[in-house]
Amino acid sequence: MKNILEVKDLRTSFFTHLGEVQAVRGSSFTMQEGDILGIVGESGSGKSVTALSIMGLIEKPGRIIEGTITFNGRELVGLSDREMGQVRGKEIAMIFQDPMTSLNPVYSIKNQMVEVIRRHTNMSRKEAEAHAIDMLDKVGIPQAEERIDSYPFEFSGGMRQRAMIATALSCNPKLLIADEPTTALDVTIQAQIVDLVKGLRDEFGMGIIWITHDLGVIAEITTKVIVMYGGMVMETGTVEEIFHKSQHPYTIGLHNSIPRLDLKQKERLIPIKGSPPDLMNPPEGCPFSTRCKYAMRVCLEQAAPLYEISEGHNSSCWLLNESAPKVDAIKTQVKAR
Amino acid sequence: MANDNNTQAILQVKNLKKYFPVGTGFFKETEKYLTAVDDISFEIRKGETFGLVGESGCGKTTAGRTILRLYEITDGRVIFDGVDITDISQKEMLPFRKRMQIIFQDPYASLNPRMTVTDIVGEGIDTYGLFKGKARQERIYDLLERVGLKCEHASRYPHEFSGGQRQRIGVARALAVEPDLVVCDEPISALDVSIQAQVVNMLEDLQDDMGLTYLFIAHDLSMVKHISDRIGVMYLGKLMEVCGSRNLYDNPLHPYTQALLSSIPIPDPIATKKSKRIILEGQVSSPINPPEGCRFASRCRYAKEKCTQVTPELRKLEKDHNVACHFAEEINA
Repeated sequence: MKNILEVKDLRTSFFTHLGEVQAVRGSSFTMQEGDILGIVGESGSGKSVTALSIMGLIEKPGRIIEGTITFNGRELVGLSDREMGQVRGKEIAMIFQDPMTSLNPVYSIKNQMVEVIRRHTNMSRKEAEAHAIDMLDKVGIPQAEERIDSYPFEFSGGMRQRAMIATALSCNPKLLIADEPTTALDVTIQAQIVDLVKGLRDEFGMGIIWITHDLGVIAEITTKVIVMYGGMVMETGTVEEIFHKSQHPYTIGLHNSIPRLDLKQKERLIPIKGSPPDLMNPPEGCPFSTRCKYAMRVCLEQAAPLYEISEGHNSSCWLLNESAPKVDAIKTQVKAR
Repeated sequence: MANDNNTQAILQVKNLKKYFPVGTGFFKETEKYLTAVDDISFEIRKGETFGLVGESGCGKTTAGRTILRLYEITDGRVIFDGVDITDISQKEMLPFRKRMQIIFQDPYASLNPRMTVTDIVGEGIDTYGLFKGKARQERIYDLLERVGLKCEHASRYPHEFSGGQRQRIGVARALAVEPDLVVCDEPISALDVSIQAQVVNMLEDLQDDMGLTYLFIAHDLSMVKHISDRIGVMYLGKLMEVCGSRNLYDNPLHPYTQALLSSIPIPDPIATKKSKRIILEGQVSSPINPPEGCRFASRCRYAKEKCTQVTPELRKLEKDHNVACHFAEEINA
């Protein structure tokens, strides 16, 4: 399998008047062709900033300080705006959480779609329109020929997200980044969108990065998962490894703090104590050390490297060091099911 | 779980309606109404948690606020602890306000940024003259400790707290007047996953300690199922199904509930692969002057002619299990 995306030691910070906010602090991961990569984390974990860094959409006062982002063998960090403009929308497309604010309210859907298509292809206006209608049809907008003349406000939330997906896929990108695309939608609409994206992936074959805080959606759609916390990668692995063989106290803590609809017995939730770190002044060691019940002295002083558990399954936790005490938490895993 | 007989209802809601006029003008008589809550009936028993779930716009929040008479009731009755509070004056309402409190969704918008925590929590205490002077301060410290904050937080302002901590302040404020019923209006939706469990556990502990009754309103069905004893499922202003929370998941009888449950992603990739999905077509229709018949008919895969003509009543199908569907027996046979 070919790597289509390789992110190495990415550091992105925002320089505000209050000081440097270190949103991403050295995250590394790779993505192979055909992967649906989930990035899961809470607010402020750096998942969106990672995505925006890949898209070259970090604006002042933010800046990529360090690291490389290799897409299809090409280095994206340091590209000029013009060069990046050719990648963005054509090879990597993105959809956002709130389709109302990411569509322009004063232009019709047709206008916005045709603009994207014509910018990246040699199609005539007529061809582009036909292609746009075709795309709307594919994402399940009924009477696409008529609805294409609508304005965003005439669409419901679910339909707007469909229109966004149609626009994003109109130039046949190799990678689609979806940043919390269903968070603003109701569950029944979310199920429609998840289903749609799965179907479109089989048809178009693009890679997908799906960013969310919802572990349910992650289990549903992704094949590989990155767990982020405090701007760092805590654990990476296949979706089964992250859910059933996790080797990181934070990942396990997350699993234990959400209720399961399908559990027979009502169980008390096990919350994670404390609150997420302040990225203006992040802890010196592991970002999770202040909330981790297994924290050792080394955890407070130095962030752990990514230990390889099996191929592709890595966890950044000192407990995996061979000289660390053996803790049964990591073995006993998530609540027995 | 409570039985039908041995626990009394602390709150009875009978045929409650709340309509909002839309498109009103100065000279124009309004003819259009948004039927936010349309003829719902249920009761909450002492000491239990009643969950109200539904998608956005289904009227669950409006229902909660109308019950507290934060909105004027369009029609129907609200009976609290045996007293009909539907038509009593705001002044007569005061003693009931002390017994019915609310926790809001957004902990950033529901705390006055210019008041200290002491002022916020103490406001209700002063209104009802419960404690004065030193006793008042001690009461506030006690409340803060109960919700997991510290005494030194008392003199701080809301902006100095994180979202989870602010929600704790909101809880302390609600509990300050020793209520019987607390309406929790999406109290955890604005919080991070790892913080949600903290707040839910706290609410459960407080319920045990203080004998509280909760009306828990949320759209996250997994969390509602976790915390509730009984659940009501709303759709476009109507109650579709009311039953015990365990039963709702094991044996949902209404086609909407079935679809809703199957759309909730289960955080387990192995279970997900086994589960079957019902993907609902279309979207929620408009609550403005809705047509006769079942509100869900346009999206229901079992819909027949009768469904678009006659509005189904909530009826008892099994013990402690009420459904508003004409064909519930056939569908689940």
